[in-house]
Amino acid sequence: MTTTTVNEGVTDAFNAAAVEQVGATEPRWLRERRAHAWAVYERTPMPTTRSEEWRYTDLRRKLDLDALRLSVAPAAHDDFTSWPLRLREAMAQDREASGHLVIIDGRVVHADVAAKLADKGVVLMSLHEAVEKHEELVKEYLATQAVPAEEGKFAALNAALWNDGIFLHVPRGVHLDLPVRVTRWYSESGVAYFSRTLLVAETASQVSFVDEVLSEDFTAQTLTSSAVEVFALDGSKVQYVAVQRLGRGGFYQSVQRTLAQRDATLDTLNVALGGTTTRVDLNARLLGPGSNSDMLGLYFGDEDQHFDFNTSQDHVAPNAGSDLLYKGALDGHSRAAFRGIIRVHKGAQRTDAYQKIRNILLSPHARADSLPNLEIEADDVKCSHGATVGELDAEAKFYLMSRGMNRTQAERLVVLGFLGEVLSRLPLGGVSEKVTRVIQEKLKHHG
Amino acid sequence: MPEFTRVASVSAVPAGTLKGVMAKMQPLVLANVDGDIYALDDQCSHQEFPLADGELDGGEVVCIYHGARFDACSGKNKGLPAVRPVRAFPVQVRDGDIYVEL
Repeated sequence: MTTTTVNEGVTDAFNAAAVEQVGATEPRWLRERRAHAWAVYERTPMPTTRSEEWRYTDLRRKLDLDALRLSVAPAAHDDFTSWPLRLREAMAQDREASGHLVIIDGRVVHADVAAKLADKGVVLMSLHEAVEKHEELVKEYLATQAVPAEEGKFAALNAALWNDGIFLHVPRGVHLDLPVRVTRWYSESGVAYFSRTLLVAETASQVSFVDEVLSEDFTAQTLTSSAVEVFALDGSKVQYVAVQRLGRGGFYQSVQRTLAQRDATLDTLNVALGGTTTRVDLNARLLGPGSNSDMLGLYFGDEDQHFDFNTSQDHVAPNAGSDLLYKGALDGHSRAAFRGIIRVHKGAQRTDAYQKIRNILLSPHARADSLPNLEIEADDVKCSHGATVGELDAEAKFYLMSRGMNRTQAERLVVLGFLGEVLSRLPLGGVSEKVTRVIQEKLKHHG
Repeated sequence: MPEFTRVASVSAVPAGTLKGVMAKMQPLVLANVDGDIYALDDQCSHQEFPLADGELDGGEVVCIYHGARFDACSGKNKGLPAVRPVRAFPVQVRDGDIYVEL
C-alpha cells in the first residue's frame, strides 16, 4: 500500500507544530488522536467543484486558508457585565433554560446547569474540562463513531486543531424540560476557530440543545469550524438546534452527525441567516429500529451570501423514519445549494424517509440549486424527495394587497409565512421568535 | 483598484494548451492560442466545473465535462450546453511572464 502525501491546506498557521502546541497539555490518547487527524488532513485533497458534494462551493474563491491564523485572544472572564452587548442581548432574549454555556473567541468562559439537574448527574462543561473529569466518556465518543477525521478535509482539520468545545451528558432517564442554551461570540478577524460539540443522551433521557453563533461584521475573512456529534441512545429524545448569525466576512463551516439508537427521536434544525459563506454537512444515522429524525433547515440570504447544505439520511435499521424539510428565501445576489441523499441500507425494511426542499427567489439575481437523491437497497420502503424553486406566491401577495397592504409589506408577510412552516415544526422556547425577528430585520432591506 | 498581477510564466502554457492558476482568490484558466495568451474565469457557466480540466480546440476552450465551448479571447459562449459567457480578463505578457488584471 502506498501513502499519498497531498499537503494541501498546510499553512503557516495550520501545521503539525500547531497541532502539537494546541494539545501540549492533553493526555497522550488525545494527542495521538490529534496527530492521526493531522495525518488524515495532510493526505486528504482539498475539496473541489469536480466532486458532486462541493460542486457549487468553489473553495478557491470562497476560502483563503493561507490568510487565516489561529486565535491568540486571551480568555475572556466569566463576568456577564464585561461581555459584548450583542451577546448579552441575545442571551437576554432567551427564555428560561436548563443550563447555559458561553463561548467567547473560541473558549468556554461560562457554564451553568440547574442545580436539581446537576444533582441528577447532568454535565454541561467545556470539552477541556470534560477531558479531565469525564475522560472515559470523552475518549469513547470524541471523533470516533460520529465525526472521525476520515469524514473529510474539514473534519480532519477540526479534529486536529480544535481549541475548545462543549460537552453535554444527560444520564439515563433524566428529562430536561427546558433547553440548554449555548451562545458563541467571535470578535477577531482573519482568524480560524475550531470547536467541537459532544452531546450524549443516555437511554430514555430527554434534552433540547440550542447553539447560537454571533459576531459583528469581520474586517477580514474569519472561519468558524465546528464538528457536532450527537448520540441519542435507546428511547431518548433529543433536539439539536444551530442558529448562525455571524457578521459579513464569516465563513461558517459545520460538520454534524447524529446517531439515533433504538426508538430514539433525534431532531435537528439548522438556521442560517448571517455570514458570507455557510457550509453545513449533516448526516443523520438511524441506527436502531423505531428511531426517527426530523431534519429541518431555514435560511435567508441577501447581498452576496452563499449557503451550501449537504445532508444525508442513513437508514441502517428497519422501521425507522426521517423527514427532511429545508426552506430558504434568497434576495440580492445570494445563492443556496442543497444536496441531500436518502440512503436505505440493506435490511432497513419498512423505512419511511422523506426529503423536501423549497426555495423562493426574491431577486432576479438570486439563485438556488437543489440536488435531492435516493439510494435504496431494501424493497419494502416508503421514500420520496422533491425540490422546488419559485418566486413569491402571487395569489397570496395579491390577496394581502387587496386588504390594503402595499407590495413590500405583502411580500414580507408572505416570506415570513413561507419560512414560518419550518419554525412551527420545532417549537422551542424563544427560538422561533428570535429567528423571526432577525428575518424581519433582513426583510427591511427587501423591496 | 484592479491591477496587473503575475500569474505564471509563458513557458508554463505551451501553445495549444490550457493551464489553471490562482490569483487573489480568483481561479483562472490561461489559454495559449498560437502564441497569444488569454485568461478566462476558470468556471464553466453551465455546471461550474473547472474549464482548466478541458482542452483548447483552435481558439475555443472546450469544457471536458459536458462539451460546452467558449471563445478563448472573449469568453463568449460558442457551443451548448453553455448559454452564458464566462468572464474574460485583460492579459499582458512582459519579460516571459503572464500578468492578468484583477
